[in-house]
Amino acid sequence: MTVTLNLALAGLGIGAVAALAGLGLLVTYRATGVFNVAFGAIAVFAAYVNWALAVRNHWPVGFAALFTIGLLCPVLGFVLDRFVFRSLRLRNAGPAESIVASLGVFVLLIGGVTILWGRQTRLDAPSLVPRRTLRLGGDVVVRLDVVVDVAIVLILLLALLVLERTRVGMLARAVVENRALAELTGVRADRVSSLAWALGATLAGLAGILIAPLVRLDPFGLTLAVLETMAVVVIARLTRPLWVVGSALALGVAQSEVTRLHLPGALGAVVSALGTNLFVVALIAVLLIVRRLEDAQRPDAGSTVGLATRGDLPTPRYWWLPATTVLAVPLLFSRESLVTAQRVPALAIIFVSIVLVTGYAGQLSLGQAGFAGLGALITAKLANGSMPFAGQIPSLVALVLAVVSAALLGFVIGWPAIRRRGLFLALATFAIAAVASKFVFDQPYFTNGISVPTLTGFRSARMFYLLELMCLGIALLAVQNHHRGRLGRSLQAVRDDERGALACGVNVRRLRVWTFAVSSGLAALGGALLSVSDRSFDATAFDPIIGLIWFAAVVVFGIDSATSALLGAALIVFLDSVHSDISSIVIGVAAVTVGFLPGGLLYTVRRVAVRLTNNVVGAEFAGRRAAVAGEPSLRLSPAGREIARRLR
Amino acid sequence: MTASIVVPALSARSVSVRLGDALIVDSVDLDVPSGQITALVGPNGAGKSTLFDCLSGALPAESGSIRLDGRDVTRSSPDQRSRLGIARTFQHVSVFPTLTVEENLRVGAEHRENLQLLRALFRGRRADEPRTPEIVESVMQRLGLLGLRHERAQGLETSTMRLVEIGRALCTRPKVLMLDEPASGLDDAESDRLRALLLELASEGLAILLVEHDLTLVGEVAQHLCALDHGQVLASGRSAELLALPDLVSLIGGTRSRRAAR
Repeated sequence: MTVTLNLALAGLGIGAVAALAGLGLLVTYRATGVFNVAFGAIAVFAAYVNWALAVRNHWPVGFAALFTIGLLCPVLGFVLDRFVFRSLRLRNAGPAESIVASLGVFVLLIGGVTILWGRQTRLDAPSLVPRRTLRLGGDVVVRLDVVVDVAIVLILLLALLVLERTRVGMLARAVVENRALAELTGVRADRVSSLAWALGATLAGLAGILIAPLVRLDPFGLTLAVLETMAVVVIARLTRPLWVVGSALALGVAQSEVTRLHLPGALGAVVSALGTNLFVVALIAVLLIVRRLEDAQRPDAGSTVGLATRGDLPTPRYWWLPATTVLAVPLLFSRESLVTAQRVPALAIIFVSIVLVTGYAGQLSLGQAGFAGLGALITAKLANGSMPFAGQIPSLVALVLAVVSAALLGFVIGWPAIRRRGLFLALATFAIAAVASKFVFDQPYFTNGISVPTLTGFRSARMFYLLELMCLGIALLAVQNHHRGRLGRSLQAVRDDERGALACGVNVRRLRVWTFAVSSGLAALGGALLSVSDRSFDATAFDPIIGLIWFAAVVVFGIDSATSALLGAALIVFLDSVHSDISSIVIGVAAVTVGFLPGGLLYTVRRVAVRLTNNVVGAEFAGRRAAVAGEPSLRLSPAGREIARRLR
Repeated sequence: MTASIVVPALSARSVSVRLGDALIVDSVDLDVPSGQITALVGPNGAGKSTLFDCLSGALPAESGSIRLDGRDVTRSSPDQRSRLGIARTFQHVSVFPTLTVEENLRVGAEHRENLQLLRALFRGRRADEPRTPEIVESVMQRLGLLGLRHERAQGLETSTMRLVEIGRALCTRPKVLMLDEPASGLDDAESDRLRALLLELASEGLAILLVEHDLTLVGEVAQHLCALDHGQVLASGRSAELLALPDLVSLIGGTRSRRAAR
């Protein structure tokens, strides 16, 4: 009995933390309209700054926390608003791009933390509250900081009440709903959203500093506490603060009680994983099972129309040349460099799978890392003969089987997941990757003693590289077929206007599930090749966070261009070979500037190049358009010329 | 008058639609006969567009049945209904902005059958049936869109977009064509052309259902009228007779075009 009660109280602690972060995320979402994926990263950053100040620089604990929460976080929020999200708002970018921008913030903050303070886990995060426990009679014990957390949850509920019921709160929501309209009625939208961002960052910082002493402080572990946060926010359907608190506390207690169960074998592995990951299970269950989650969402949420660039620029004649060169050159390398270059085609296949599902089919999918990891794991297990109910299978056949089974899995999961739109689909796919990571890749039961096979007949580095190129070729062919002809038009139509596509007889749901399954299979292929070129199965290589970074990278390079994805993969592998952290920093920097790069890096470069090199061709192009539309050529009055000059 | 039995192409029997707690369409009966134009009129908020969405499958019916050529389609999805022969346009013009005019029409034309995914994947472009290009070509010719075929839809004027939308609907080779306020945003000349087009289409045997505020246009083209208010049918019957009732016209509160005011 006492054990039950003590476990419940411990669970209450975790629940209170999740409630705290969840409410913070909810406040930010309601006040800024951005589902801030970087919320957890801001929390980690604040926790690290606080730790560095208090432990390394020996500031008084309270003073360090006051500095971090009271000054650093609001300034950070303000900076994020001004220099990252304002440009997105101004050009009415879709939520897809704000997710990428916040992913960029995420990557930069986490990258900054690892560069400044290293990757190792810290156990000495300072606690604001004395680590004392209260005895509630008998053997029942409650930690003092849990009491404080509960108090803070109450304060946050008060903040939400302010947001919902007061004038300031109403202004903030008005700006989120319709910025232009709010400005017309005299609201200073910029000021309101800066305030909202400052507030959101402060809440995140507060959460981080409070959580850090309860869990260990490391750049990746704490960020995944964001999964717990996402779970409770989704259960609350992004609108109901009391549900956040209720579900967080309930899940915290339940998760804590599960740890008492001990079962043998695979089931035991799953149950023990439940004891730390019940929130993830709740997240995926809600996203896959509950009907009508989208009601609370704004109708345009998750639209990817803003990311499309198709046909804006004429296709250059030698468009295939750069990518082909980049892929062919490694064949001239020494063996050692060639082994490094082996990552390029593998990563490119994963990137191309993201181009397919998000760029062409318009579905935000953040879960490719999960499918890539499954591809790697299934290939290895089949080839080793360690897969139950299957003997040892030739490695190439194992690869093919892994791809097929990942595609089938994508089909099975895709069917319920595809009902979700935009943000909820993005979260569902991310949850899939998280479940794969937590319940399979991280479980010694599944991954202990896994050795990755070399592929029969492709043992030498050169032969394997050629095999990879072949696989990439097949992947590109499949993807190109989703960009041209009837299939391409249908996908484009669905992305442009789903209602209209339905009215034309396009079977939207089947199309979506299909592309989801194909892209899952491709991701598995890339993942398997990646693990073979690495000579090992590394669970951290398929961490859901890595998947987020991949997604951001693809958007940054150009979400609807397979060529961009290919060049991007090459660049990332190159940067990684120079130094291990540079690539994510580059991606982060590019992602936070996504507001200034509509269509991605490559597209922006091309657009600038076209503008610089041949105004002549541009004029000819415009002239042809005008002739087609039957307009007379333009004649400007002096005043008109002046205006045209200013516009230019 | 000869007693010919007209089998309606599309018929709704006591259809009700509920949005949230509100009953927006309340057991409505509606027949849309082939070869004729039926107009759905009524004041703002009468439930016209909701009924429209229900007939095309975008909204589920709470009760009642919808039949297309005698076949029950009440539970069919919008894309199924489109393949069975119901085509529609939208009140807020809906075209695929990043596709060209020709591609917009092709999307309409090439989904008369379910998409054969595997075939399309492995044969790419050639999966098109031979007849698709011809359908697209003839519809473009008919609507005068040939000169704009390679233009992307997003830069077009509203009136042209409306034409593209109608063209896309026609390319599905429908039995029933449902148009939601097709004349809004058109000037007098364009509206005249639209009128001629609608009459021509009806004479070819198409069943046309129209939601329209412009009662002059309705009077000129529609044989049948169904007046809705508060989700219920106020009156239905021959449009000439109904439009002669001043009370009904003032209740519908529709507008008359400038042409009529002169």
